[in-house]
Amino acid sequence: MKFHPLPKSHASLITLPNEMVMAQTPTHRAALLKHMESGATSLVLDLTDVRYMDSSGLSVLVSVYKRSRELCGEVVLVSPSDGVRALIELTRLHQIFDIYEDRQAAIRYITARENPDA
Amino acid sequence: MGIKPVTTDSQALKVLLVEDTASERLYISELLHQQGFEVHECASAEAALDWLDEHQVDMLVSDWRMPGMSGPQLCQIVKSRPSPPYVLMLTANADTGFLIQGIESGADDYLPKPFVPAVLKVRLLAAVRLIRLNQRLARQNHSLEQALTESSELNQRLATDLQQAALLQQSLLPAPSSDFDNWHCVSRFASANVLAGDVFHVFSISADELGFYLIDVAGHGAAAAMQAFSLAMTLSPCRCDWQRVSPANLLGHLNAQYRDPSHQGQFATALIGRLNLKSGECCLSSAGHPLPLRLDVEGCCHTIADNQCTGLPLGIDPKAHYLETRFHFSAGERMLLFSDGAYESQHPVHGSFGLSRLKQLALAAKPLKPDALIQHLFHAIHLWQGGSFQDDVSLILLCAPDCLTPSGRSHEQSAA
Repeated sequence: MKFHPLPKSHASLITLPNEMVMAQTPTHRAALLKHMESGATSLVLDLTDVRYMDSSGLSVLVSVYKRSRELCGEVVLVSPSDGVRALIELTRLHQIFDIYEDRQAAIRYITARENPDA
Repeated sequence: MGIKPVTTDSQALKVLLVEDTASERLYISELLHQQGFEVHECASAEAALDWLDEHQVDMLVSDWRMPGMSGPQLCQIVKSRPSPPYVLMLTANADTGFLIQGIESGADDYLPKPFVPAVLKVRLLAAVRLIRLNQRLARQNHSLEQALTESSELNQRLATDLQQAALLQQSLLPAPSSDFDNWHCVSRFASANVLAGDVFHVFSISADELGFYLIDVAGHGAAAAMQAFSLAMTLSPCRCDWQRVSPANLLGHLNAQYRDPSHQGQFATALIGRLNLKSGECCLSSAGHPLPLRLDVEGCCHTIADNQCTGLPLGIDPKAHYLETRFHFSAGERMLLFSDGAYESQHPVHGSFGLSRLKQLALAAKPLKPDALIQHLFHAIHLWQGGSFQDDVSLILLCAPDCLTPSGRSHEQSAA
């Protein structure tokens, strides 16, 4: 997992790892929540590299979604694979996450949201 | 200037001195006393062995040559017993051969006579260091063993607790095969851990109606199991009016009751349905749960338009709204309900099992009787996961009778 704080905002771009499954769920959840506690209220989660995700991996996304709501932030997803997208849509989670195909567009959206006056 | 005693610890070390010559015995005993040892004396190896049957010592100081049993012989016997003392052998012979024989017989150290008291003192000092180290190690070993026993007892207790919880959880599941009127229902369940995050039930809610639900809490293990159990309790027909409350409203109720106290992002998908046994009319509502497969007698698989009846999983938005869909079973139609564990499994070489494979298998196995069909699917999923379940797997197959009553048909029209 790689963290890139976005300039002039309380937002970060995070590249998620190859697998988001049960075994690593606690680690992933802790790392993301810790990053949010250190100031990133909104996240752009890049799912390009995620080849496999199970329902427990989804619960990590739900955790950060809930936390960002509490912090008045937002979480958007970038280019999930077909399989991951199918999983997200099957569980109806696309209702709470905006999904972008273009990373730059997602970053523009989140930074503009963070700085409405800029 | 006297030499400072070597054993200054509060508890004096016990020494057994074996020496046949009375004057020597007195002299060495006095030296040992000065060093702070508690000394017991024996005039022969035989007497020493008798005394050792009843007593424990930290160190044995023995002469080499004695009438009867020799020092090395005594040493060999003493060292063969459990938790032997430290042995210091004294001899009038400074020959290297004796040194080797002495140490080989098991002695820890060897001192030729005559010796100056200071030399005996430093040898004793080294001995005390070793004895104290051994004592400390023995104590540590003991407390480690104790901790290990305690934690394995705790583990055992936890495992028993989990087993009992699992039994309670399994008691919520319906019988693997049951009949309601002319309808037949078969189910299979396997959990990845002792406790499962899946729970389902199929039960009569009136003479003509059947209620069913399938809940899958994300993740598995104790926390997911507790959540599943609590959701199942909320849905219990004793607590919910299944006759009057619609499946969508039951889901809304369940969602409003959902608790995630540890903010783990825990959520659950659920499917709730009600079925009229006479007319075959079925009403379904889903909270992010995969919709069932409808397999008709012609061998076609009907998909239920999911945008009509699938809402957010439970536990994400307390105000989430749920919709429902209605359809009619045709005569002989079967409906397969399943949790994501049934198709999400990964094979190391062949990849994901997938929803379409589940569908293909179910269609291909259509000629099988319900029990055989569900066993076939269950077996295929099990094989795909390499013989051990990665996630909880729930399968329920609801089978309509070969003919549904005409009154049911008229009911369908009135409903339409």
